[in-house]
Amino acid sequence: MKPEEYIRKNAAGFDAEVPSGHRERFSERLDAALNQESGRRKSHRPVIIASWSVASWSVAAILALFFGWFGPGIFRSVPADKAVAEVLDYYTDLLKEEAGPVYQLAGKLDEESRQELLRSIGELTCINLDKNSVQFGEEHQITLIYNIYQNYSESIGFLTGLLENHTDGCAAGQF
Amino acid sequence: MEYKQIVKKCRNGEREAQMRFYDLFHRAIYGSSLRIVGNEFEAEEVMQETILKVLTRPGMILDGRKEMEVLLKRIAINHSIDLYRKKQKWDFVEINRKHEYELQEEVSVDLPDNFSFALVREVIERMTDNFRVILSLRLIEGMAFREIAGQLGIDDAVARVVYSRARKKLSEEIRKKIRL
Repeated sequence: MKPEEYIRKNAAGFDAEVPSGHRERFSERLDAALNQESGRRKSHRPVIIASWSVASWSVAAILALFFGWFGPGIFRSVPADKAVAEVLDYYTDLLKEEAGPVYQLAGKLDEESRQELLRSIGELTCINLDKNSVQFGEEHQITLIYNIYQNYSESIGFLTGLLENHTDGCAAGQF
Repeated sequence: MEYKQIVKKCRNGEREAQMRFYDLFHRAIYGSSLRIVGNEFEAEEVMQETILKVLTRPGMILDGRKEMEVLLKRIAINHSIDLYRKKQKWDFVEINRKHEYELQEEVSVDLPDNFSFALVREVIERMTDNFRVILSLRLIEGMAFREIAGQLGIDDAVARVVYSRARKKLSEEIRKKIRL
């Protein structure tokens, strides 16, 4: 066996033992972080409410998108914070995976419907933060991304179900 | 406690579940970081920072255990590469020039049946930083060249060349060990 193949097959074995006392050190840091976090939460309650209102706005946007009422321009911004960007990339990748079946089913539609669907699904696999959300800070942006992801994911699931029924119906001669 | 229960309790901020979460993931994250920073103290720091970052942000705690591990490792690897780049005396722009499209001839050995895992691990650990990092990212973390290049701030082609050189070095060192 070649060394590269051997390393790939035994990748998990390359993990090392953490120096002793690490669990206790982490426990102390966790206490400190949670105390700090709870202090911050109390002082940021208005921002959390604002964040949730933006999340609600995203639900409305999805509904508008689905029913074809979507107007010009949603805000597009690239998060400056690396952790936020990582989470954004992660959930965007998940949405793209979830949208895979929709792309497959789209092939069974007529051209006009297919183009409309692809435009909609393109929007649903692209998480964009409101430019005003930057002022909320990292934690609230992440919460927002997660909420948007959940809403978009539900919409993609809904669309997939609709398309499956529609294409099954077509196959059965109901349409 | 099952992973689903741990997730639920972590989102509610339950202390015991948070420590169970730590127990589940710390070793894999530490390993990924150590292979890049090459220093136990810094790797532990990165590992603990990464888990804290997730535990203090409930939106980042994922329902799937595998997905959670992938996200944690990704955060830890990014952080480790940042540290690694700050520590390096030479910069990656210089590597870009030095290794430009310099392809290595294919040299590879077959491992004999009695070659132990510990020896392969020792060979990797003793390699120079840039070789160890690129072999770890490619072979152990399974990252694509484009992703590695993006993380390290080098050209895609340069990442391939450095990897090719690292593979050659790996084979040479293993060959030496076999002869011993």
